[in-house]
Amino acid sequence: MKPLELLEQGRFLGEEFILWLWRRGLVEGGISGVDGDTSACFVDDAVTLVTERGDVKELSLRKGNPAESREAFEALSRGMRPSKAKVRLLAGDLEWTCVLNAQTLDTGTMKLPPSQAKDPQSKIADRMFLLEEGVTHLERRFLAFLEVRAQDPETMAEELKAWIRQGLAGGPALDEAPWEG
Amino acid sequence: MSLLQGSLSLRRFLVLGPVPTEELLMEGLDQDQFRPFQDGQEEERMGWCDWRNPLILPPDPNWVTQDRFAILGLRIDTRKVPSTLLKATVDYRLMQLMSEKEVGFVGKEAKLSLQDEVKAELLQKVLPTPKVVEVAWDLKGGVLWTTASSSKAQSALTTLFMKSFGCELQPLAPLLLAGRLAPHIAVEGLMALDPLDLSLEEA
Repeated sequence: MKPLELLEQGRFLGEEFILWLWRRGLVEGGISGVDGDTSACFVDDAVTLVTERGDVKELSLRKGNPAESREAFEALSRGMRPSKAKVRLLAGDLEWTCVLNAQTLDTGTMKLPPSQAKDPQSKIADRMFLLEEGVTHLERRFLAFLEVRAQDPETMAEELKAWIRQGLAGGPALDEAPWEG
Repeated sequence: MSLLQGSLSLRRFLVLGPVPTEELLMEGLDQDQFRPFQDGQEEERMGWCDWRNPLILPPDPNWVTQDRFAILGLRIDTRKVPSTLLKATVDYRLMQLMSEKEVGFVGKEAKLSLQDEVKAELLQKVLPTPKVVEVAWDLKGGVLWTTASSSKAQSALTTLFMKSFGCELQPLAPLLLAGRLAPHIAVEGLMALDPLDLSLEEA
């Protein structure tokens, strides 16, 4: 299969993974569900939703709290799917943010936790470690998502639909962003 | 944005092919190191450079290998004669030529030949615009990270990587990543999955 076909064929998995992260961040504190992992991941202040149907093909929600906004849930209920989302990852006192792209699972504009190293050799070693650490947190979640997605897609669909309904109905809105608690 | 500082936009590729020895790696980098423009009408040149500074050519072997990574720079230089300047210069030369020869018309072939000549001349005066893409190749994990964000830069990287090291690069997109992270889930099963329909009927 050609690279472009491979990207296109797996795009829906990336979109559903973002949705799964989004729901988990709001409903389950952003945990990965893996024993011993205390990291948390949330959809932050930018989400882009797309669809091939309807008059509006792309909806970009930025600033404020788009992850809990009525606009976002209305779009999801109409079948729009996230193509990109800014995510925030927390592990201990380390924090990463990046824009996750559904089609490629690329991490755009990734901010890494600060490195204290001064010389280029130590700095690059530090940054590669932090980069891998952040991506490992995301991959751990992607694996957890895949297992449910492959084994029990009906339950996942029902959970996501129930969450979208709850979001449309006003849901258990949080007073502050989850990572600010 | 770079591997050394600031925020990063990264793309990951799976490296398919045998991992080269350090000697072969350096041979590949040396063979396809960046070479600055010389005579000729090329508008683009690319090649490997040192990740610390694109003027260090070929990459310094002492700095390429960092732990289990090979860190490289891919330098892509472009040079282009501004179209307005090219047209103005060609028109001016044509006017001079017609005046010298006392003719009122110059044939199409002669015009094209003059245009090539002027372009080659002006290209020598144009400063190239360098772009450096960073690459971190995890030699043990078989994964390559790159800051190449445009499809043009990614395509240049894929082509040069194959030429220098004989390895193919495949974008580590959801399906490939799934196969790598969850080998216990059958690939056929993953390929057969359909997107979930999450639209609400009543909405």
